[in-house]
Amino acid sequence: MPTPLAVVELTLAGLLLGGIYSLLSVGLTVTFGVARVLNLTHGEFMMVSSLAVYLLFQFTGGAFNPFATLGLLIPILFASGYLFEKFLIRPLRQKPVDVIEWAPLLVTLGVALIIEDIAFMTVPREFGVSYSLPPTRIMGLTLSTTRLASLVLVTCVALALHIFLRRTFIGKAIRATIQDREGALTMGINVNRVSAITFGLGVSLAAAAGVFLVMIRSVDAYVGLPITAKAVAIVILGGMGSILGSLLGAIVLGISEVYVSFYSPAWSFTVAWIILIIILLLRPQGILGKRAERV
Amino acid sequence: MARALPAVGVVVALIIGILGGFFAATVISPQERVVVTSVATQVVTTTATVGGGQPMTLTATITRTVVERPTPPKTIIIGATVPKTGSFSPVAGPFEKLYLAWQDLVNERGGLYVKQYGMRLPVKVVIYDDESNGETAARLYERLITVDKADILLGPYSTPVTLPVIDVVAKYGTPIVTTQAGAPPIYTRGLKNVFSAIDLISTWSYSYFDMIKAEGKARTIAFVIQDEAYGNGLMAGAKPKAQEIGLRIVAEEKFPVGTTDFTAIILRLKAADPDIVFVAGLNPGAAAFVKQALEQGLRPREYHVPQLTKPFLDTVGVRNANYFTGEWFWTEGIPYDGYFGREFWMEAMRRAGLTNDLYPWASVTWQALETVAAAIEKANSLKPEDLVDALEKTYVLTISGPTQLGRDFGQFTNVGLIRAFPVQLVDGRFRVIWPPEIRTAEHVYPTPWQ
Repeated sequence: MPTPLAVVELTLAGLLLGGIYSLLSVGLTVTFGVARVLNLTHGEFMMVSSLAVYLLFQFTGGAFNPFATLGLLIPILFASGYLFEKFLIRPLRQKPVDVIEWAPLLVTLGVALIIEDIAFMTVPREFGVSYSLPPTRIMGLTLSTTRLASLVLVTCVALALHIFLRRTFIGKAIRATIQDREGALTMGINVNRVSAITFGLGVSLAAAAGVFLVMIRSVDAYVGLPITAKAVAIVILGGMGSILGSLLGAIVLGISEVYVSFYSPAWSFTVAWIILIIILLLRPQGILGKRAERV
Repeated sequence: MARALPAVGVVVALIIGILGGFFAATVISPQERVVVTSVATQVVTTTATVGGGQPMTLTATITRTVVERPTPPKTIIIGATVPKTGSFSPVAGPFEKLYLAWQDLVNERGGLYVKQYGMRLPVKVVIYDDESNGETAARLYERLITVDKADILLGPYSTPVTLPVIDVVAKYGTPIVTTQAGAPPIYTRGLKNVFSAIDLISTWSYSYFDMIKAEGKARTIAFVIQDEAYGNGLMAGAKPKAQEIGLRIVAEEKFPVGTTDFTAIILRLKAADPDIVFVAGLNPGAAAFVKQALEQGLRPREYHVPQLTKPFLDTVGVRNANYFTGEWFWTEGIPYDGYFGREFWMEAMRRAGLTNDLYPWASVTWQALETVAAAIEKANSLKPEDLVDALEKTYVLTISGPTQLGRDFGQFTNVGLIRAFPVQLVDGRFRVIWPPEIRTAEHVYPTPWQ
């Protein structure tokens, strides 16, 4: 059994991991909710963000604070996501129904593989940044300052997202489109524009996750698709299209992984899929998802 | 006087003949097989009266032998695969450039000497992409043997990819020198044509433990093991060796490849408070663990990370890893020149655009190339059986010290001698700290944490 101090440390570690997962999965959820496209490039944008942090850190001889890259990368990747939707996803909507069903999936998969190869040609090995801060000691606890700072920033990003979705017109439009695309259209919402903005938003969140991830571990060009798979599992766990569900699912998964690894590190990977199977069997709509009408 | 001239001529001819025979006997060594294509014999008879007495008849038989060697091939073909794509490509994909740089450098100095032809022949390295996959590699090695007609082979990267290849080369008998495959199953099948320049992976850390024993300062050790071939292979030797030298194992933590969070392991290690934390794993796993351990305040007397490479230091930070110890097969300061000379090795790395700290397995690839070259130059011919025979007898000084390929011990066959050297990172530079005869600095222990 972990000691009380160990419980605090494990919970904080789980919250940070869950926070990173939540940035990824919430981004994927909003994209799926609005555009009805499972964006398989999601993890690749996270990897690109990690790569950008690495390159900036290397070229400046470690002078560039990785946290500061958030301010630089979020707008750039927002624009990338916006253009990605506009030029690669939107044209597919004009195609016949049977093409619309599978084409976006293949397009996003194809782009994911292209991004992987370009990233690999840029840095053909795993990469990480050596940025770290001295540990913080509070009441007998020795905590990672980098992780605490990351946790604070992840929380800030999540809060900013919450405010954006609740208080701004675009945020409300996004939520409305997630709830009822046709309804939003009849209410005069420019669904195409909302869709592109949502892609930009999703990619920005993935970029933020990439910044935090590369600070706690090294990554490589091929990390994207496995991460996307995990994000999909979290989205299903939380309930497809439910932003709060994804947030909750990510936290549950982060904490579960850390606690399971305390007893058996080998099972920490499997836990995501075990939880997913249990949820699908007991509550197929996910933690906060809406039950579909029976036909 | 004029009548004596023919006799003098015959005597001179005999002397020339004897000298010619002696010269021919010394040039053509007894082991060398030659092909006699034509023999012409000429009998010369002359009669002369010497000193006014009875006429004397001298008969000399002059035999002219035309010796012709078999037609040499245009090149010596050396076959290999590298993981240009797939999971091992970041670590070993660029070794294609190293092979080609070696090929060019060898050819620039005239090639390798082949005794059978009495001349140097250029080398050609035929390389394919094995996609980091054993089955693909096995197919490609079959192609190298049957289509490309490789004279000798260099193994692929890693044990999992090498194992299926061994089945193929066992079938054809073509000699192979493995490169980065030190796991026991490759060398327990008694295959006479499979060789390794380096020792088994389980012995790689022996020098480090010899040093710890000689110093007598450390008492306890904790092992953090990445659950894959490298980590487990290293541990197969490191754990019993640690026990043998009297270290108490206070923790043994295994983690799977891809682990992101190490908090649980770090908490248990903090409670165990070991003198040495021995990280038996590849990057990025090893780097992620150490980075998080440092951030969470785990400060043992020493971190020993065998894979103390540039990707590791990029993640952990050179300053944070100050006084860490690692294990390298070659680094600046190791005094051996190698088969071709140190400059040759440095030039090949320069041409390939590789650095030792970024690609530490390049030196192991180089050792395989050194042993292959030595065997070719020693062999009676390029036939597989002669090359195998030469490899068995090859004792070569590589850039990492001497190795002998035909070494059999216990259940193992044809395992080399080279083991990793303990090194220590001090203020951004690596120092060789053991064995005493080649160390460039004393081992700093315990770590003076800032």
